[in-house]
Amino acid sequence: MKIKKVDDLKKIQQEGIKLLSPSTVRITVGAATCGMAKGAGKVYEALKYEVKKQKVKAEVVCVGCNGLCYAEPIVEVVRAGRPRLTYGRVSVGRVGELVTSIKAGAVLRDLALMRRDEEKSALGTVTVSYAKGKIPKAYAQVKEYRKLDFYKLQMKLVSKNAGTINPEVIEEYIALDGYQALAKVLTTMNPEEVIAEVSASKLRGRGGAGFPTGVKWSACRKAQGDAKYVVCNGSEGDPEIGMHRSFLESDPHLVIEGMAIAGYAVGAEEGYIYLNDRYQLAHTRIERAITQAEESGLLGKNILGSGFSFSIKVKRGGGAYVCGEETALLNALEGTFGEPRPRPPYPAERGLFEKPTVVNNLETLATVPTIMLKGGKWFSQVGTAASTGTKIVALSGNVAQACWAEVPLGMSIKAIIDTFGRGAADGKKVKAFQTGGPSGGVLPAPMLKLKLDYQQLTSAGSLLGSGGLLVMDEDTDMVGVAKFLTDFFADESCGKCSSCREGCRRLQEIIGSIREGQGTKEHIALIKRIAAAMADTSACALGKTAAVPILSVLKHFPKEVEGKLMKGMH
Amino acid sequence: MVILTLDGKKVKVKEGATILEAARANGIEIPTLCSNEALKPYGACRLCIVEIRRGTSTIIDTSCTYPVEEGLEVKTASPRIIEGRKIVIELFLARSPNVKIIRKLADEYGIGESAREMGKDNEYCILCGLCVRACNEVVKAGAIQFAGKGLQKVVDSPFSQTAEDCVACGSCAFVCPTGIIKKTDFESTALCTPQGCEPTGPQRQLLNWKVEQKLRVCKKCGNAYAPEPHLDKIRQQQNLPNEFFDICPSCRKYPVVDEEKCLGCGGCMENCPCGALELDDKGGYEKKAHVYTQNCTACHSCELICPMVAIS
Repeated sequence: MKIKKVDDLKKIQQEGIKLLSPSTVRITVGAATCGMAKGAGKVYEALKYEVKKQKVKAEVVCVGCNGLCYAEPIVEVVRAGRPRLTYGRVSVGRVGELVTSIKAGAVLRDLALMRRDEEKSALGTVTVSYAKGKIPKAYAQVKEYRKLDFYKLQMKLVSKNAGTINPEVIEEYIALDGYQALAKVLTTMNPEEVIAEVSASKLRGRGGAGFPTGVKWSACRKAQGDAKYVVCNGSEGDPEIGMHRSFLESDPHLVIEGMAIAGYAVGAEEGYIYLNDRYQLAHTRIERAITQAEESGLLGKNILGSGFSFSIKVKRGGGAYVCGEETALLNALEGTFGEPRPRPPYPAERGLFEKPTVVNNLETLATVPTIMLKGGKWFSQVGTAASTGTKIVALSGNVAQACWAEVPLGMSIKAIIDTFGRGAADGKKVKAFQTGGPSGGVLPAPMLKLKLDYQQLTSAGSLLGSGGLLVMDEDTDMVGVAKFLTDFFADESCGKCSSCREGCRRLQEIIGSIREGQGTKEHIALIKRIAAAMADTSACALGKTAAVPILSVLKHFPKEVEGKLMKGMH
Repeated sequence: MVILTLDGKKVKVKEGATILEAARANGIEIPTLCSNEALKPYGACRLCIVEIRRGTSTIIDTSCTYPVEEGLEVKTASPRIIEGRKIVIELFLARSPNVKIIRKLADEYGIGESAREMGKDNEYCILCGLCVRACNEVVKAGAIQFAGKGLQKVVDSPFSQTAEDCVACGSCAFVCPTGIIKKTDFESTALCTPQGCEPTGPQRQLLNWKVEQKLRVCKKCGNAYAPEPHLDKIRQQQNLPNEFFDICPSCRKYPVVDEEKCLGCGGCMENCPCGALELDDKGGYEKKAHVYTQNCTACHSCELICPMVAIS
């Protein structure tokens, strides 16, 4: 159905709510890449088979990831009038039992993680209530999700739909107030008001540099050009995180909505999503979402009768780390080398195809609809005064539970690791952690009390960056970590700047010889000299921060490094 | 005009210039390896870094890429800059210890050898990108490019095979600061097969790109003067007549008609590709050829066709 007016959106919303809490049974399987890796595909097939075999009237659908990656494959069951149940670690062998329990209206206690009685939409105007009347005893014994620590400390603004809706059905997205922000912007606000609202929210880029989004947008709005572009940076070349992937696999329409709002604000009619090529499933789902949005009239010409037109194209990149740098990304989009361009001119003045362009991180754009719905002032009160809003943090490394969670900025890192990751794996102690992907500093355990915000992490020699949180336990060889990260940069440097290219090559050699026990104090002094020059002379953030991990290991774990030096030389 | 401070001195520079251009215009020397006036700024060698104070913040950036702005305060040789440059030179020295231009720079900055703890290579190419950019931006041939990423980066012909779009102009060899691109012209070569050898005439060879191209021989002086595909490319770009490059630049002059010899047959006029020749009435039935130099491209086709050898 073509959506021509705001009222049409309301009609589709009702259809979507019926899909989310049907009169029969709805079984959802967490089928993002994390789930697929743990066998969600087979569980999905098995569920479909069992449902048919046991003659249960149920619909089996694939949804995205709700953050509990360690408990994949996750299966959720919605029965009419009963709370929504979440089962974790569902193996193919237990699917038969699960379907039997659904038939009988029972609960599998050992697999059940939590229940959910109702789902509130973003605006709070729509409530999808699963449980009706008194909750049966078997259900009541399962903890309500809000009582779990995992959810208690989270604040789900951006990832609210992830794991709940089917990412391939636009109605389910609209059911939970999807595209309401776009409708509000197009019908009641002018572009300047949109930018003012984003500025008031104090939203900062979620990619790495943390540049204020409002400033970027207004610079692009003011720039002269016959065409303008919105580019969504979904490059995500960091080795240990897959938040963008998970995001596009779980809730692609939110990104589309954010991009359309950005387009309206800066005066662009075309948008590009630059996506890491490794994200096969994310690519399929975002392409499908774009087609659906176009068919519904939420993308294309004259959206909702406002006269505003916007279209989105997806471009797949090779997944190079440097292509997360905005000017290198623009080069890659144009089909040339993924090398950074000299700045100035900034992309807001002369970007893609020499036209004013706003390049925003995927998560930044996904935050925009919430700001539009709830207001910039409301958003600015979430988090801390200087770092507002929420941030999705992905935990990986030696944590007991690998997962991702959306937390308000300002939460302590210790709380994040303990609550969501349940500390280091196998009962070990946390020795070090790294925030913000490979460009961040490797910080020691005493710095766990740091708060997750832009300023604290920067002054500690790290960065908030993309929100990756890599945990290392007490058995980790820190020189090995430094070597790994230096190898990563040597591999990912584009090779344009002499200082970055040659510096990475030499740092790799030097840390290699220290690790093999051939190092001396001169080696360490040389690392410091090269690192200082790389930070000063490289063109882009990759070169400027390539030596940060190695320097932070030298600073925080000096004894361990000195222990590796040649005997008699220290 | 824009006013900025260069090393404590207020200077006036025209808008749109880079800091490097401003410095050079004011007699301040900044070392560079990858900048060339004919090419767009690239910023690969990082030697031309300067300290730029803009408002309250100080940044370090390459002067070849940074456009001048009103009120900038630029330091071209502060201790931090010199230290940065020294290490960049040292890194270059470790990469290419046998390249003259790097040695010269190292001497200027008082660096003897790269640190002992650093590894050493013996690369001749310093990846300044001048050859690639000259080929793409000036010649517009696009025959060579960077290949590989990061530490594996090299300049190469497509897939390391013969560069098919190469017009053998030799611009790459001309701009290369290290002299690693080899351009050789042969007076005469032969193509030898088991069936026997066949002379191919004068040729130009660019070993790096595995290219051999014929050189055009001047129809007048007989010297081989430029590669055929390059001349063809210029001819197409400039929309010049086919015969334009039959004559080498040193033989090229506007034709002069010897009226004593001219029969007024009009053959030259018919044959002129640019309509620069016409027959003037000289009274009676007599007509003589006349050259209108404003249209003439000095292709000498008239000279070659004249039956009376009246045009020279």
